[in-house]
Amino acid sequence: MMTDRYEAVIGIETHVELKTETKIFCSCPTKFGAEPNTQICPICMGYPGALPSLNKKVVDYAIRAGLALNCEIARYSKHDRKNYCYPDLPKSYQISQFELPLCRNGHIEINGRRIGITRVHIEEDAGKLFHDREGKTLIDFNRCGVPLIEIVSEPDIRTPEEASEYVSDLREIMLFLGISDVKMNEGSLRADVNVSVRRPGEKAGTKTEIKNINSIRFIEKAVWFETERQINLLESGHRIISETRRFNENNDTTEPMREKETADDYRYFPDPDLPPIILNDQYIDEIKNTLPPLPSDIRKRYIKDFGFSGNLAERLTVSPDVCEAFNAAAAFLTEKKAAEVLANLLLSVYDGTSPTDPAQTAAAAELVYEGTISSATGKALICELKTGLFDIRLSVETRDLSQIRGEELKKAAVGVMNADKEAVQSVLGGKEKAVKKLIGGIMKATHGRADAAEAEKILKELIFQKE
Amino acid sequence: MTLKTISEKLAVKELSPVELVAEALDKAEKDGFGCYISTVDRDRALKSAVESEDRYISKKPLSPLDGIPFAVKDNILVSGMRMTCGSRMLEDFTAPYDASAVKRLTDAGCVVIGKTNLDEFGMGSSTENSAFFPTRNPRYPDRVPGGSSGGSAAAVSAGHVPFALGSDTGGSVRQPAAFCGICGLKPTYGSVSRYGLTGFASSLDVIGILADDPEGCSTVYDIISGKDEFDATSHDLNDAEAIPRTFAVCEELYSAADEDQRRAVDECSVILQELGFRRVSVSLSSIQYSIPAYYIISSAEASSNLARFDGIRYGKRHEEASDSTDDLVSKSRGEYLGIEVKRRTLLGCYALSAGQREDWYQKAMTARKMIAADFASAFKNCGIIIAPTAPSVPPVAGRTNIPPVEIYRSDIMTVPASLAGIPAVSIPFETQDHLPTGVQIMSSKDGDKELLSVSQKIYSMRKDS
Repeated sequence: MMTDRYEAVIGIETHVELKTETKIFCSCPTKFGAEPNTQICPICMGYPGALPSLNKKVVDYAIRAGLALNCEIARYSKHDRKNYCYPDLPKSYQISQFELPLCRNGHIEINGRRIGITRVHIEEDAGKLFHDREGKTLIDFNRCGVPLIEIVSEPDIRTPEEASEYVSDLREIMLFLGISDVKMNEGSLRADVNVSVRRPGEKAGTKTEIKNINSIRFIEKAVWFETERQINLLESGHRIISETRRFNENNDTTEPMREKETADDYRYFPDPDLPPIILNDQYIDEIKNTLPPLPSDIRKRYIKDFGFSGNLAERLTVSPDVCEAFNAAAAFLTEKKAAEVLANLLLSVYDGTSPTDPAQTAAAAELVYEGTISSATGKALICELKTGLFDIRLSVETRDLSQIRGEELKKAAVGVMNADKEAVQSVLGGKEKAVKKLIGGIMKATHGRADAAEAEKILKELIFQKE
Repeated sequence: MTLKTISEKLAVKELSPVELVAEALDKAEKDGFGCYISTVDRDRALKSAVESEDRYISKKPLSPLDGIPFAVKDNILVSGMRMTCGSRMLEDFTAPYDASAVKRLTDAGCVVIGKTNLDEFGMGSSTENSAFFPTRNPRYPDRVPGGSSGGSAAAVSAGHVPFALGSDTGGSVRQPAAFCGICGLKPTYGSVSRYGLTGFASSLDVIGILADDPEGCSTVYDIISGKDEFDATSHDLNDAEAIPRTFAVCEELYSAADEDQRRAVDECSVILQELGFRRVSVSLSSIQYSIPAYYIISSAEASSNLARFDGIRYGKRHEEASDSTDDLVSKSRGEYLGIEVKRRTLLGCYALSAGQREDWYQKAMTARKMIAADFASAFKNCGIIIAPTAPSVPPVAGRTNIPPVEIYRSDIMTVPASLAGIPAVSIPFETQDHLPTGVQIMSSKDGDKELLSVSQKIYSMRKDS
C-alpha cells in the first residue's frame, strides 16, 4: 500500500557527542557517568561574567566528520546564539551555528542510493533533567557544554529500512573516525526523524518530528508506524498536524509530545563572545591526510585483498579495534589464506578488547590454519595473550597443545561414549542435542585440543558403526 | 594625591600600605556619598596591606601599585565577595571567581576595598537605576554622579581610593568621570579582558579605569591590559603606530552640545595646538545613527546576556510555587528585575525577533559598520579626535518621570567611540559656573598608551589645573 500510492519523505537530524577530553567552551571533563554536578564550572553553568573559549579539538573532529561525509569545509564559519528558555540550558541560549555552519553539501551512499547531507555544525549540549518520585525536577549539568556535532540529512530517505541503515552507517563512520563512542543508550548518538508522505510527484506533505528513539532498530519501527499512520489519516480525509511525537517502545507506536503550531523563534544572532572560525587549505589538508580509512573502504579492501565474503567483512568492521588488531596481525602472516582463520579467531575473542601482540596473534592463526592446533585451542591461546605476552609456538610445543586427531581422538571419543551410555542411546534415537553433549565431553577431555568438526565425525562413525 | 605620587611615596617608604588601606577602609565604612554596596572584610584587607608592607621592606614590591587600595564596580566579580550588579535579582549572590582584570591587580599587590554602586546591570546614566540607593556626587552635591559607574567615580572623586574599575558600554566610565570631576578611560575594545565582567552588551562592554588623572589610568592600564586566555575577544596591544601630531574636533558632536561644553572643547583645542598638534577637519556623518544603533544593538545583546538570570541556578527565585518553568522564571524576573532592565530586554527581544530582525538589528549593525568606517577613515587624516563627554552639565539629582529616550539621547557624545571600539579618555574641565564638564580625547584602536600620555599633557595644561 505504501509504496504503491504514497512515498515517504524522511530526513534525519543526528546529534553526535564528540569524545574530546574537555568540553567545547571550557576545560571541564566530559566523562560519562560522573556524580551529578561534579563536572561543572562558571562557564558551562552560565554564571555572570563567564565567557566561552573554543576547544580547537572540537573543530578538528567536526572537520573529520565533514570530510568523511564528503562535505565542503567552510573556510569561514561562525557561532550563533540560539535563544530559548529551558531549565537544562544555563545561559538560556545555546551556542550553535546557524547561518554559516562548518560543513555543508555532503552525501553518503546507502545501498547505491545517495543521501544528501545538508550540513554538519558544532554546538554545545545541554544538561539532563530527572523527575523524582515527589514530582520535583532535578538538573544535572555535567553534560552541559559537552561538544556536539549536528548532522542534518536532506529529506532523501524513502523507507524505514533506509532510515535505520542511514543512522547505522553514520554511526559506524563516526566510530571509525575515532571522534565519538556513538552509544545511543548513553546519549552519545541521538536521532530525530522527520517524516512526511506524499503522492509521488506531488509536493511535500506536512511533516512530523519523532524524538526519543533510543536504538537503531527502533528507528525502523518508528518510521514504519508513522508513515502508516499518516497514510491512514490522509486516506480517511484527515490532515496531518505538524507536531513533535515520541516513539513508544512498549507498543512500537508514536504519540504526540507537544504541538508545534508555530516554530520557535530562536532570535538567532552571531555570538559576540567568539571570533569566527577561519580555516585555510593547509589546515584542512593536514586533517584530510590523517583521516583513518572509512569502514566501507576497509570492507572493500578485505574483500579484494583477502577474498572475504561480504558478511565476514561486515562482521570484522564491527569496531575499529577489531580491524586494527586484524590489520596488524595480518601483516605478520606468511600464508595469506590464513587471514580468514585470523579474522574468525579475533571475532570470537572480541569482548571489547583484542590481543595486543600482532606477531603472536598471527602465529596462533597460522597454527590453526595448518591444523597444528584446534580452533578452540587457538581461541584459548589468544585470550591468554590478552593478559600477557608469550611465545605461542613455543607454548604449543612445551604444553603439548597440538591438535588431537586420528587414533588419539578415537580413544578420547570412546572414553566419553563409555562414560555416558545414556547419551549414546539418545544419539541413536536421533537426538542432536545429545551429539552436542558428547562433543562437549570430548572437547573437555582433550582440553580443547580436538577439532570439533572432526570430533563429531568420529563420534558419529563410532556410534552408528557399533550398530 | 595622584596615583603616581602615592606610588612614589610607597617606593621610598614615605607612605605605608597599611596606612593607605586602613584609611580607605575607614572612609568606606563612613561612605557619606553612598559609593559602596559592599565593603571588604577589614581584617582580610589589612592582612594584604601588611604583606605588601613586608614586600616594600624587603625591597620586592610586586608592582608600582603594590599595596594601593582600589574600588571595583559591583558588576565585576571579586571572588568571595557579594556581587549585586545593582539588582535585587543578585542581592544574595556571592562571586565564585575573580574577574581577570581584578586578579591581575591583586596579583600586582593592589587591595580591593569595596564594590561600588551602579545603575542596575549597567543600564542607566545616573546611578539612580540602582535597585538599592542612589549615589551622591561628592564635589557637586546637587547633581547626579553620572552612570552607570557612578559609585566608582564618586569613590575616586571623594578621595576614598586613588583608582577604581568601572565598565563602559556606551559611556558608563567616561560620563561619570566627567560629572565627578575626574578622569576616565574607556580602553580599546578587547584590550582588557571581559572575563568576570557581567555581560551587558558583549560587543561593546569594556572594563574602564577611573582615577584623578590620565597618568593614573595609564599605570593601572599597564597591569590589566593584554590578551587573556579566558576571553576569546581579547588581544595584546599591537605595536601601535605613533599618533600623528594632528587633531580634529568632531563637529557633529560639538554642535550638539551646550555652550559650556563647547567652551571646554575650545580650551582643549588651544592646548593641543600649544602642544604642537595641527588642527584639521574630519567628517563623521554616520554619527547621526549612533544613538539608535547603540540602543538597538546593546538591548539586543543584553536581552540574550541577561536571560541567564532566571532564579534557577543562582539569584533570587520567586517564593510562590510555580507549575511550570516558564512560570517560575517569569515570576522571578518580574519580581526582581528593575523597570529599565525590563524595558531594554523587551526592546532587545523585539529587535531580534523573526520579522523584525532585518529592520532593526541588521540595520543597526550596518549603521555601526558605517560609524566605525567613518572613524577609521578620519584617523587616516588625523591622530586625535576630540568631542564633549556629555551634551550638558550633570542633571540635578532626583529627577523623576524623564522620558527614557531623552535620557538615552544624552549618551550621544560617548556611544560613537563605543560603537567603533576605539579608545577614549575623558578629561575633566569646569564651566564658568564651576560645574563639571568633560572633554573626550579619542584615537584609533590600540593607541591607548599614547592617548593617555597626550591626555596627561592636556590635563596638566588646563587653566584650573
